[in-house]
Amino acid sequence: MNAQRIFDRARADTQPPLCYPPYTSTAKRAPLEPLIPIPPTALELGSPLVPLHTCPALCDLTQAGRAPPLGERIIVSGHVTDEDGKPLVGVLIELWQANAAGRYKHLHDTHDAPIDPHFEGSGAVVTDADGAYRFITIKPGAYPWRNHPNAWRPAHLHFSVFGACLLTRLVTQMYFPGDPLLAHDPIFMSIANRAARERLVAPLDWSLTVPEFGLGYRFDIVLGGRSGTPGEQA
Amino acid sequence: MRMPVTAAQTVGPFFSIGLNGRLAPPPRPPQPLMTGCIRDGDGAPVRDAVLEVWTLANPHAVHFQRTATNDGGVFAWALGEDSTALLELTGCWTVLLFLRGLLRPLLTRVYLPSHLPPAHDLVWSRIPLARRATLIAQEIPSAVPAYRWDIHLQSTLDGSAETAFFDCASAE
Repeated sequence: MNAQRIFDRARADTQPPLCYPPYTSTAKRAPLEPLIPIPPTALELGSPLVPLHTCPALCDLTQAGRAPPLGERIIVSGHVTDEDGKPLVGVLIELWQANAAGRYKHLHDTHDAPIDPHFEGSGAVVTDADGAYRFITIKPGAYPWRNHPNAWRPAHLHFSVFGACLLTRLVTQMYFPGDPLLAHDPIFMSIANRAARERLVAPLDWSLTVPEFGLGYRFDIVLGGRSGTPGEQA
Repeated sequence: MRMPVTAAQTVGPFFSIGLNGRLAPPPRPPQPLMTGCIRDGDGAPVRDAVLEVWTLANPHAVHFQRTATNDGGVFAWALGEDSTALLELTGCWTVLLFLRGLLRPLLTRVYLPSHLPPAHDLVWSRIPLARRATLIAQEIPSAVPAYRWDIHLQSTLDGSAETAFFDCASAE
């Protein structure tokens, strides 16, 4: 099945470049030689035998501690599809984030904001038969980083998504609408195409919002790959 | 209608919160292993990298192993009991690399000196001769198969060459 799928080279401006000087860590970490174009082989097209363990289609990050975490409870939900809009079923999504105060539960996070003992900040789900997933969590806080003087990251959730094969692997970040920090964030702004970067901003969605419980944000994810007819194949 | 592929963003420095739950168990001697160090353009070790190692299990499926660098920038993954059989099938390990400072992952491969692909190999033939050495692991003298493969994100002043990285797509 996968062998029939076509994986296009992304339009250059809809994905971030490797070297983006405003994001200063790219200077010494992004390769300087051009990438070597190769055709996909069985290795890049084979289905991954990913150890899924037992991930449900819903993950509630507010239930991981002995008491509810502090912060604004939210619902984040969406569908994972391919470029043809076909739902991708059984896709593993991993999520991690800072707490409501903007602090990660990580040894190397030295930001002077409180750790919430009731919030780990990690979750994992597998998409259901419609390609849908749903997380319940808290809205993360903005936090400072040392990229440039007075640099602050907008609130964001980290997403890691597995698709049909290596070529569909995606790690990205989801942002919140109306955040004034977005225009100042070199990681977000590294995507030159405005529409492409705004697709990482999850709109408020009333159909996902649960009355008296939490606001819902919709984050749909499109992984690379489309069906091809044999005549279209390179 | 074609839907645009979601844009990538960096994995950031704190990925272990979300990704380490699915790390492969570290190799335990005398288990065969692949190890090495990831270094940046200053030659400094990269202590916050995730490596995902994809190996052909059969013609339609790939084994997946995730590992991360330690504070010294060192990674290691187990080659498994069936590594010789796997190697006959695949000839190499494909690696996706994620780290702070990379806005999208890097794709590379590591080959063994004893199992270099034929000159006409679809991928090998595309790699400039001068850069092939960056993808060949060195055998570590040991009772069991053990290999060293260092990854250099950029060339350094002390003479280390930038590792060859790929861009893989089926349509131009």
